[in-house]
Amino acid sequence: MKADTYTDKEVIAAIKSGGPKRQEVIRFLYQDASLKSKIIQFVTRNSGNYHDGEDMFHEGIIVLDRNIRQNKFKEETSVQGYLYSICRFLWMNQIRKQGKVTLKEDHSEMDSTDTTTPEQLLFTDEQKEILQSLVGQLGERCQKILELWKLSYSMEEIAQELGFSSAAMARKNKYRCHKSLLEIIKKHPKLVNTLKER
Amino acid sequence: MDAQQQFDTIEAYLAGELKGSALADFEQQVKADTTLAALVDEHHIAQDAIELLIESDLRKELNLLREKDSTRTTKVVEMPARVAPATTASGTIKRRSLFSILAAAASVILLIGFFGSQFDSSNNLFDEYYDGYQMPESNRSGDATDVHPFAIGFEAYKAGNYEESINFFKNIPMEDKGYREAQLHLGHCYLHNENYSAASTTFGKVVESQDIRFVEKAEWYQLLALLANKQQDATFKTLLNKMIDDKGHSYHQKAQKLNAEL
Repeated sequence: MKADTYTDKEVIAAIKSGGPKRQEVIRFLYQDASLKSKIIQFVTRNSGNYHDGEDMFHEGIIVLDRNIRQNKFKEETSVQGYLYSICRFLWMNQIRKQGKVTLKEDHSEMDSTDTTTPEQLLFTDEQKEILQSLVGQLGERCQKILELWKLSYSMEEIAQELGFSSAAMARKNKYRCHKSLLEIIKKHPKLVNTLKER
Repeated sequence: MDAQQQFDTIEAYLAGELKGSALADFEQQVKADTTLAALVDEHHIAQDAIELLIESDLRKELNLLREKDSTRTTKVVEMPARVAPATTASGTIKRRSLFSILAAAASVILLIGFFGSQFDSSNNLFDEYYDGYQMPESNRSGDATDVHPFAIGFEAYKAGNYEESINFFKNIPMEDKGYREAQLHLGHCYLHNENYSAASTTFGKVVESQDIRFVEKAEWYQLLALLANKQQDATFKTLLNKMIDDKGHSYHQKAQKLNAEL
């Protein structure tokens, strides 16, 4: 029973390519017990508990996934180091908000070169609420098409996944759903202004 | 530029795919045209909204995985579908409840949705090799008056009430002449209850007793309990090698097959 392992380049390529490969490497990252325990250790040494540490690990994977897909990840940094760095910043931000200020920094061998602030890493609760209210007006099928498209699934794969008769039909539906979302956004200028002020 | 072309250009711009003069021209147009600028903003927000969907889905999937890990670690058992179901004497499948099976199936489907064929191989192997267990009849020799002393445990097991059957067999004292047999039954109750660690310990006691009536069965089922518990340690290897080396062992062929699949 051999476990799959991936180099940093393979992780990045798989996440960018989307589809099942992305799922595989996310699972691979999730199963990195050593990294997970380092993150949990950092959180538990800084006013958090084990569950908080697990949450940070999850949030870190979510941000890493997005930043790689959006080409925001600098490839000179190791994926593990970057993930650790994200989790650390996310937790530091959270405990600052909670007023628990004393930080016991972990001077491990992990890279700490990334200086992106947590606010740039995840949507704020307010942004989430607004975006959710907009996208929630789309049907579930439309949401799924757009999600798969954004995850770089090909039109053939989308057709197969969602039962369209052809890639052309998938493309047509994707365009229709995308237009619907834009129309919903256009109908809510106040919400859009709030988002633009971020 | 028609609407479709404009749509595609904005998407290409936001994806960073416009380069050189095409990029410069488009940026110039955006500066000069407030309507176009608003359209670009709307596309940007649409992308963020889709990104939020991806983020939410991934969070759900990671939480499902955590729940799965947590269930395994604490041996909390609410998924009878994971273990081969108990069968009655007539072969009728007993199920604890439709709800628990549906809940289990839903969890499995959700996990498969994310991980596809990457499902846990140890548990797949356990499911493949564990063929359930049929308790003896409560009435011996078909005589209604000749009730087996372990009948209460048998009936609880057949009804899928594993907690009750565990309690029954656990309380059979060591001095009882049926103690080793009871331990064998108890091990199976634990397997059905997904308490693999307790199952392994219980079968281990029967193995240690070297009671010729039960020892080979106990060795095989202890091996499966260790497999389900992802505990392929020295005990696991010793048991597996013993069965492979002993051509006369009742589970020799199964052990060979299992070894090939590990």
